[in-house]
Amino acid sequence: MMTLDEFVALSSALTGYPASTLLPARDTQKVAAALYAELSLSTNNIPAAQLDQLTQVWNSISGTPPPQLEAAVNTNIIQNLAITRLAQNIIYLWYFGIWYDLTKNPNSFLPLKNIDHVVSPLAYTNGLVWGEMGAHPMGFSVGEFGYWANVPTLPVIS
Amino acid sequence: MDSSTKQYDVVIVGGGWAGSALAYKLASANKKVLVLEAGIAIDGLITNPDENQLVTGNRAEFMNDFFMAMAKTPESPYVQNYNAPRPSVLDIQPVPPFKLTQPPPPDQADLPHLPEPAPPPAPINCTDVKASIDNGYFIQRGPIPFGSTYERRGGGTSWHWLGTSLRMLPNDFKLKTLYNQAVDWPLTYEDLSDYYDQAEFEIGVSADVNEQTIHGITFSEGYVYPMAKIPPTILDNTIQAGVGSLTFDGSSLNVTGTPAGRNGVPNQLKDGSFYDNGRRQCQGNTNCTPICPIQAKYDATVTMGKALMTGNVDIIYQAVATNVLLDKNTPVNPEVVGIEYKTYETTGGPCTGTFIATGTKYIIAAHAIEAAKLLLMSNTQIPAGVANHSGQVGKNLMDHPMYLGWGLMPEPVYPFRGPLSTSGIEGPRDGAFRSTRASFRIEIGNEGWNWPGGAPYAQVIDMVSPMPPDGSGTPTAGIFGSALRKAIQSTFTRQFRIGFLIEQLPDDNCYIVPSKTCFDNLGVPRPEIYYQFDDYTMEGFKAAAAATDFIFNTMNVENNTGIPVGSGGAFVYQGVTYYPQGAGHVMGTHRMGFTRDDSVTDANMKSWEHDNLYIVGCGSMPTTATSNPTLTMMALAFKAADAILASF
Ligand SMILES: Cc1cc2nc3c(=O)[nH]c(=O)nc-3n(C[C@H](O)[C@H](O)[C@H](O)COP(=O)(O)OP(=O)(O)OC[C@H]3O[C@@H](n4cnc5c(N)ncnc54)[C@H](O)[C@@H]3O)c2cc1C
Repeated sequence: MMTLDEFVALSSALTGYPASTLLPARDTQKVAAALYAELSLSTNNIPAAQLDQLTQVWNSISGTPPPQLEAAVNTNIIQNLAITRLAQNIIYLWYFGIWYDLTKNPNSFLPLKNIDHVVSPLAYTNGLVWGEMGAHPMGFSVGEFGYWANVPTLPVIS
Repeated sequence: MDSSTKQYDVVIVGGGWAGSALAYKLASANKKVLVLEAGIAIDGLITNPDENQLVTGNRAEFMNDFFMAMAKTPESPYVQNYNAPRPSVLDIQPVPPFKLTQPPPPDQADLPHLPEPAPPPAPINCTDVKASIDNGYFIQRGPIPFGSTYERRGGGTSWHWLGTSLRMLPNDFKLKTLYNQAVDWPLTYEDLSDYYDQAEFEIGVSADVNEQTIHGITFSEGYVYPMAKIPPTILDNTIQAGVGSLTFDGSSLNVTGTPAGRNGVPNQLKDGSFYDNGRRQCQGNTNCTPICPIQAKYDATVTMGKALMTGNVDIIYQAVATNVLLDKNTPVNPEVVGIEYKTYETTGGPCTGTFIATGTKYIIAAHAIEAAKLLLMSNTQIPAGVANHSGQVGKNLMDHPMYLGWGLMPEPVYPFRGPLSTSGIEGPRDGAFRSTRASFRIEIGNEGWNWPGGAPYAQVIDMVSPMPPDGSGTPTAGIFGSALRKAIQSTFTRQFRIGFLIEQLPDDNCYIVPSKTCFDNLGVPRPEIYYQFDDYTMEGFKAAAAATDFIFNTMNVENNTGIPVGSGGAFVYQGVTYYPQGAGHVMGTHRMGFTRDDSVTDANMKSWEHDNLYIVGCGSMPTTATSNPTLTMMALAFKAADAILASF
């Protein structure tokens, strides 16, 4: 089983966001914990061997110096078809707040009734994709009247 | 309270948009009003796995349901109610035998296109009522599936309207006279002008009079909209800079602010006061449809609230009208003597009673499709149904079928910010071309490819888990980390779409009838729908596609227009396949007109046959024009209210 710390560190490498953003010191939203809980949700049908393998591979490369870390993640996790799909689901958890059925491509809509689900309202409103494009989750703006006339500041990618 | 024994001045069927407006206006003039509303109360039902229990909630809880929905459709915040069901956009599937995936090859372009011979009605299995409603409330007979939906709960479809509040053009009322198409309206722009003022005040429309003075629209001396126009987005300004000074097919492409029922900055009105409706300013949640989280957007619950405050209105929720009862003692043109309605306690539970509501006058304001269905169902005394001497009840079902074009701007325009739409291109709404092809307006969307392309989800998934060529679930490697972040920033900031609201003409082949075989949980027939497009509308689609090419080429847009996600219908015209979308603008099914032979009501929306019956809603509209219909419909409702008051 993957620990919460391992999950956050791996999530950081997969999402491109610092671990301190994903799990802030003053964690009011408890998003990391909610997303992490998806890994042990039985209805998600995660093959135990796949999760173990992803954990092991991550632990074997997690010490890689930051400039080379993405290359190591790419070679050992993303290009490794035995575990890439699970790693991708961790990306979706953070960017959308969604868990997708591991056995299908998330862009295939069929069957319509499946185990795909939004983790929680907070997981949705904290989805990373919106801020990345200078926007806000649809239905959850903290802007003031007329903000949309101005050019937003996009987050800096390190 | 047993309202069935109390005598009212007016009984209104439907507590949605029209019903709320009518109740408020009549009650303000001291009439005693009863509203029968099929759905759940205004702060209504929320998701509840157990349909045998009624769990009600408020707007915040609707928001939670929306956040939790995988498919964030217009219906997603609002739970289905099997005792007063509503359609969902997810149900809109191709009608057999048309196959979306197999358009005829281009060399068959000259073969006769739609309307194809209607397919023999396929047997539909509705024995399991709930399962069959889950597969789609409408019985779609095609050949094109009807693409628009509505909501059945207190407040009606105003829960998920977008907010666009354009006036119709003076020429829109005279289509027959000017362009020899369809029919004229039995009233003119001038007849409605004051009612437009009233409707704009009640909704709280933000717009600029100068900008709206187009195509012959006039305003009364010194008129100002309640609030100043909503500021345009970066995308609006970019399109204006790119094509605003150009023309397409003789029509100006000037971009103007769209009048919106969303709160902006109050104006000082003619009487010197500043407009104030007590609700908040728009915060740009980019979520007008399906739900404004802060009620900066008008909805009919606002007006119903005011109606109830008069003390003259009673409303019964969970009361589904099933029969308009006529006076048996008058064989010719009988008056209405009551409305029979059924009640229920939970969304999946049984009928709990049948009652009769009585009053002096009656108004059907149950939405274009449900109103027509109710009149046709009420056939115990007159086999053709109530108010149907003309045979036009349920006929002429129309929408503004939409053509979507989408692409990537060369430079960022920062979508997913601001209201869903703030501006449009109104030039193509009128012109000599209307003697041969449909006019349209172009709505500029601020939500990237969300509608046509399932953004942001579908494109991020394409980046992270590219679909394998065989479409299977086999894992593939994509991008992640900093590369993913860069890709999101560089593509999503450039996404945009435009949507063409295309005019549709009344057509006998487009109609709704109560199903003889499929019923809801109360045993009420479900709507069976026949729908197609004529050449006039299909020529409009062709022009819309050409306008998209022209705008995109001029602006160096990477054109990604293709098959919109979740597309239900398609048609082939001159070798090109089009994927029409519903606009939610359901019109024509109880049209007003000049004579009792060609229309259901007169210009006051009074039934030609039944002197104390009025039928009010977008179904009253004889032609669609191109403006989103509800502002006009509300103006019509106020006109009807005046006529009703004068008739006492
Ligand atoms: C996604 C979407 C976006 C839209 N955006 C816009 C826009 O931007 N601009 C615009 O002009 N229009 C828009 N519309 C259209 C607008 O919402 C409708 O035109 C308007 O709500 C129609 O008002 P109505 O009173 O006729 O019907 P409704 O508002 O639907 O109200 C009808 C009421 O009658 C009740 N009822 C139904 N059957 C019965 C029965 N048998 N007994 C008792 N009660 C019954 C229903 O429960 C409902 O409350 C949009 C629609 C949709 C779907």
